[in-house]
Amino acid sequence: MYQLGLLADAFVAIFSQLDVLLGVVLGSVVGLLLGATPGLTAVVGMVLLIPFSFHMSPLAGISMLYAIHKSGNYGGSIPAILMNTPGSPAAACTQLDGYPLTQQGKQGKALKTAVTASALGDLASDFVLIFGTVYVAKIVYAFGPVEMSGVLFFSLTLISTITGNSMLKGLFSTALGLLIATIGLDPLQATPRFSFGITEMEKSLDVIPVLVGVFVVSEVLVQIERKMSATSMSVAPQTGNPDDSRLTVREFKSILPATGISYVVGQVIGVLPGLGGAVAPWIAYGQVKSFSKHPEKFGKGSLEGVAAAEASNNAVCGANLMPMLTLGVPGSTDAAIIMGAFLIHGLELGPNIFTQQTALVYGIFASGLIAIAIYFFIGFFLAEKIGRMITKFPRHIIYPIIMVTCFIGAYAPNSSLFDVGIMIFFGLIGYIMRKFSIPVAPMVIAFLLAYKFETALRQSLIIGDNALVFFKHPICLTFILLAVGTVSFTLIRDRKRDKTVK
Amino acid sequence: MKPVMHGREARLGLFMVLISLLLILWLIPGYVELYTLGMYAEPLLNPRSFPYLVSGFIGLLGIAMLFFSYWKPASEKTVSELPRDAKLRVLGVLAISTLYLWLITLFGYLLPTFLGTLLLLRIFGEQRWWLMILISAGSAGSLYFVFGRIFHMMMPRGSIDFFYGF
Repeated sequence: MYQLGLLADAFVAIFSQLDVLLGVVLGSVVGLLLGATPGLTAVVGMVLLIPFSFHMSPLAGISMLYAIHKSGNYGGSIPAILMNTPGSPAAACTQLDGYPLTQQGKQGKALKTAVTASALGDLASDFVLIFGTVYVAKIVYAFGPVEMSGVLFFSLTLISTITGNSMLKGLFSTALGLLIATIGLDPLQATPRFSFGITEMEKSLDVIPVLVGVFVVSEVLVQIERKMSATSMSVAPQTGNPDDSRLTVREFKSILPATGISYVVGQVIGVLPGLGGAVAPWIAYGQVKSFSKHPEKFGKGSLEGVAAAEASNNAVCGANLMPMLTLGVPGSTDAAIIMGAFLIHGLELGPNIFTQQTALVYGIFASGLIAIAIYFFIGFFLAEKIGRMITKFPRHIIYPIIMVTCFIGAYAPNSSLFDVGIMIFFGLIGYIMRKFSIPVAPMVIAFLLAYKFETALRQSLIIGDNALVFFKHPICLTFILLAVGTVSFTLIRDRKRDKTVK
Repeated sequence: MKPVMHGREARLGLFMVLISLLLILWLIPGYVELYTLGMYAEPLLNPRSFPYLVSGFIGLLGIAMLFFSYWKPASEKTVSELPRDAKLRVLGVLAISTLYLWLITLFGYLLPTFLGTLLLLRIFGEQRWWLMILISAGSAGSLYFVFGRIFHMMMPRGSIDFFYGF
């Protein structure tokens, strides 16, 4: 339990460094507000604040992004409950029971249930992250290039097949990310590839312009399709009964089993690369409903339903960081952005980070716990006020400001206007991909992993002399078989779905 | 059910095949140096191997996409077309972004950011001129202050920059 000592040191460090503490507070508040605003997700907030994090210490910058990830995941539940509009894809399941409660005038109860379940799920997931990750890292430490090739191959396959509705489109998105990452210097011989004589393209494309373009500029383009005017959203009034706006001890006890089951679902799904918070709530909701004593109440305003969706949704946050820290494989889009921040600060992810950057890693863990406390208190006491405030947000003014922040954000890391052009280009690419229902997350994750993947592949070939090397190492072979299994499972699932459509 | 060619997916499949051919036949041989010394000259280890692998994979995916698009159920065929004014707004944002990028090289950061924000606000539907001017000036100024003054970043400088050193 030496982790407790490291965690205590991390808390002392955070409370003695004003920039870290401010970063966590700012991240928690910004994440909550963006998560709670339909059309603006925590991902947008994280990408927009990455350039700011570049000018902060690694701990302050990465902690701020981690805080946005956590509070943004919770924040999505506020409009889902109050306005029947999820603030994030992960909160879509929360509205099934959250909004019926609002219609009954019990939005206070629903919001308190949501924030309590979110915080509990998040907390449990963080404890596994803090106390368990180092053991995973010890296993991964023994991995050589061949094993890493297997792990990365499986991760990329999983991300491609499970994200989005079409496996082929997911695989295309991944291949596109791998291809884009080949622009620049070759990782082993440092010969230029696809530079077309442009000096800026002789080094690899920078992470920030790609992230800002794909996630934020493309989102702005999607939003501009709709003519924006003053928002028409409104929040139903509360009943006069004070019992309707609080969570009683009995109700709290009643949601604990649902929270526990959902936490397990969120933890397992969060560890798998690519799945993220959008899938976990639906699986958890189904599981909790099947175990519930009152399944008939689901969909009509069940507190268990709200707790199930929210606990699993936030349990994903800590779990997402496990593969990222140990293997350098992000568990979700949010984790990919955090990984981008690590890269910007010149920090290499993998098992060595636990020995080389111990203070940083435990500092991030501690800041995650602080973020949970912040969003819990804000959510518990102010969620309804935030919901009412969100209805007054002039989104047609926010998007242009976001866009000009994107320009300076893409320019900031290298003081390069070329990067601003890259951002606009990737904004267009992201927009076109969305129009063709091609998921963008696999492309970004593949872009981030490509360097490591290509290096591992080619180093393996040098070690083994031929391609059979991948089948001679049992760990690599296991991951290849898992990848084949994932593809087969997805093909069978898609075939069944197509038959149902027919 | 009679098989129907699923137009949008077929176009995507065709695009993937074409991209793959373009890469394999022209871009990789033309723009990726071939290493000819020692073990890195071997086909699987040279700098072209990974791009070839990925490009070939994209081609195979394209063929698969074309094949499956033929067998897709007809119910998935309908795709909602974007209204003309929405298309114009999207193109407007892209045009403003490109114009902004060009103006920065001439006038530096402040003036193009002010103008860019103003035009974006208009395209997003804001009608009140006084508010547009206030927000544009406020956002350009505050971003300049945060990045240029607090973070000490070198802000873009234009060839006819009225505000340089401000």
